[in-house]
Amino acid sequence: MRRLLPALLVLAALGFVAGSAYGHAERYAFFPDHTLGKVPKYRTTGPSLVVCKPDSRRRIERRLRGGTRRKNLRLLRRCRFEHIQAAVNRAKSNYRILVLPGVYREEPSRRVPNDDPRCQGDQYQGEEPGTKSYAYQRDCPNSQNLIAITGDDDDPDRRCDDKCNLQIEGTGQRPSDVQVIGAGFGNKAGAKLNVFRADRADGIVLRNFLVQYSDFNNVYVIETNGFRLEKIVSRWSREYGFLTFTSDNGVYNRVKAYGSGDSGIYPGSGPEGHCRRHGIEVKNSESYGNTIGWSGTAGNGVYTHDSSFHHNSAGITMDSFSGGHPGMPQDCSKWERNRIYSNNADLFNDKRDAYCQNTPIERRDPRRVCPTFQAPVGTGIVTGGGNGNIFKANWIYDNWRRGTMLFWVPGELRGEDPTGQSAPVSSYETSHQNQYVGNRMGVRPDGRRDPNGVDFWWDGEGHGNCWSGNNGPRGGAFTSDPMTLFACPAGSPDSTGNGQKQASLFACATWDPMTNPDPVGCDWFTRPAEPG
Amino acid sequence: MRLRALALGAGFALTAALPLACSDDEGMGVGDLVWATPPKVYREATLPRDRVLVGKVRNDSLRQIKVVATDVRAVDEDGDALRGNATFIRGYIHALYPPTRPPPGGLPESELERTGRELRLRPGKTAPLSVAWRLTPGGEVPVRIDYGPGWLPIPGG
Repeated sequence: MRRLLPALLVLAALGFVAGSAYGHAERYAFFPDHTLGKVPKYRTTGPSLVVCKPDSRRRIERRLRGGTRRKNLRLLRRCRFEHIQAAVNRAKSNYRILVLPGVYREEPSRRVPNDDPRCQGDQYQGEEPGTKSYAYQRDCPNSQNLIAITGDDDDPDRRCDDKCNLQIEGTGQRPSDVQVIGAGFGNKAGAKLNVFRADRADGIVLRNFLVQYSDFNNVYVIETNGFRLEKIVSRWSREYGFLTFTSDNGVYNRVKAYGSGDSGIYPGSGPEGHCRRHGIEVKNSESYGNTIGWSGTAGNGVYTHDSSFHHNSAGITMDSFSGGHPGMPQDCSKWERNRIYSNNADLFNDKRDAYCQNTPIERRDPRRVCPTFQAPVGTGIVTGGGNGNIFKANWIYDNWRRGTMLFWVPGELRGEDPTGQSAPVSSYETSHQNQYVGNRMGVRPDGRRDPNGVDFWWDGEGHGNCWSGNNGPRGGAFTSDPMTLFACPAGSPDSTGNGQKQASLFACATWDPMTNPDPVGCDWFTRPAEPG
Repeated sequence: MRLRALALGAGFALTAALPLACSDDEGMGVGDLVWATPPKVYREATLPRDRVLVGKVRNDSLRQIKVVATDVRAVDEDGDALRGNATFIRGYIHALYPPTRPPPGGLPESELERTGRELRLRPGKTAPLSVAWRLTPGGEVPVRIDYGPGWLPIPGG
């Protein structure tokens, strides 16, 4: 049973906390010119600075073996920094920052106030309420961020001028040998929105460490032309494990994300290649135990392959749900050879709701995920307003509600983009020309049957959506709602869709974790029974 | 529940005091809003006690009207509200700001309207309205949609 009054009282008690925090909204952000950048390579040579902790030697001797151990002991003699931010401050473009085994809490950054008195005034305010300008990040880098790399100087070109092509890497054998740890959530002393922020930091490489406990993003990359996120474990963020935004020429490789209140991996406002290219690649990665494994409002131009998204509440969502995201409507991402399975995490149940409602944010256990956005529990892939996406040769199984879900989002709901980087609003701008080809539905890679609630769910809206070559167990039939789907390449004729199916979604928009955790008329937040 | 009845009564009183507001005793509703097209009521197979009404309303007054979604409820013959929620959008979206992380000063009006939490409707204009309610075993069925200063009939209600 829900008890609204206590929830409201707690909300009122938290009012100061929430009101003093920064919003998800970002300053007006702009896509870089992709022709001027490239995906950076991982480098093993070049100028470097070394960071270590007093116990790094002990950790090296206990945890490392062979050549890695010898290399780390050599590096230890060159160590001049105890904090990663200090090394970033000293670094010049093309430097490598080598971080020896240890736990990095970045105490000097934690001591910087969240509303830094050195950065007051109009030039430090963003356009949206509660947002901060780039100048704020540049002049007060540790106000919101434990470690900030800001590469653009005060010229107007939004391109990296210094601290470009930085590479920050842990030198251990495993990511867990180097741990970078935020202070926690909300108003907890020392808590920061972001553990790592790469802002106009073209060519940034982050590699081989573990990061946790941010209030917003563990790893945040914005307005950056060229990035590589590699061999990183990101866990227990209040919102996002990895978030890249209005960035291009990027790679996520061998990253692992879990325990995020929103999404493990979020390449939102992705590259505007409009199906001519994919500007961000996600590969060999794993995202689990989050509210959503991978999500992207305006998650455009991302090629995700050979990765797995499992045991989240929902595996993947890409959408045109929200304003403030350049590149609307969402289009042209590609999914190939991924495993999308068992996304039934019951994070919206009564017990979890009560914990999240009744525990002040700064006192929450970061390891207990409190969902910060809604998701249809038990769904593999949600496309909520998107065009020209390709889902090919994926294994999609054991998602108890739906394997995939495709529906329309009226264009007027996302609103006009004040940055001018989106298409003009058109009511029926989505969902068109999405292709589901050659996927294995309701069956594990070893051939065992493991059904989804229904394999393909579609509200019937749009044109050119198509399904071809998809198979169920033993090469048999898949299941769908509607029963009849349309073959590629022609796909579906133009339609405004099924009103009843669309109506089933409206009430879900009223979800609020504090005041309306189980909206009447919406079944998304109750985990479906396992299909037989 | 009684508070809701009082609110409805206050709504009637307010309506009577406003010369530009319309009223109709023949099942068309009371207040500035009318159904622009007949609403439909849906039932989701997985939620047998829930109903979702989807319609389009028009402002038939001569002034702009503001309605807050949390003030909109399905009510029974006695004026008691059923548990439910409402929104002024015809699709699923979510807010730009996470619910526990609003901006200083709260959500801007534009965001409240975009996400269907508030409606500002100029005279003669239409807007979508979706209202969900949950029936209780043996309980009353709703007969109208109360939105504060007025109400709209539920077809068949």
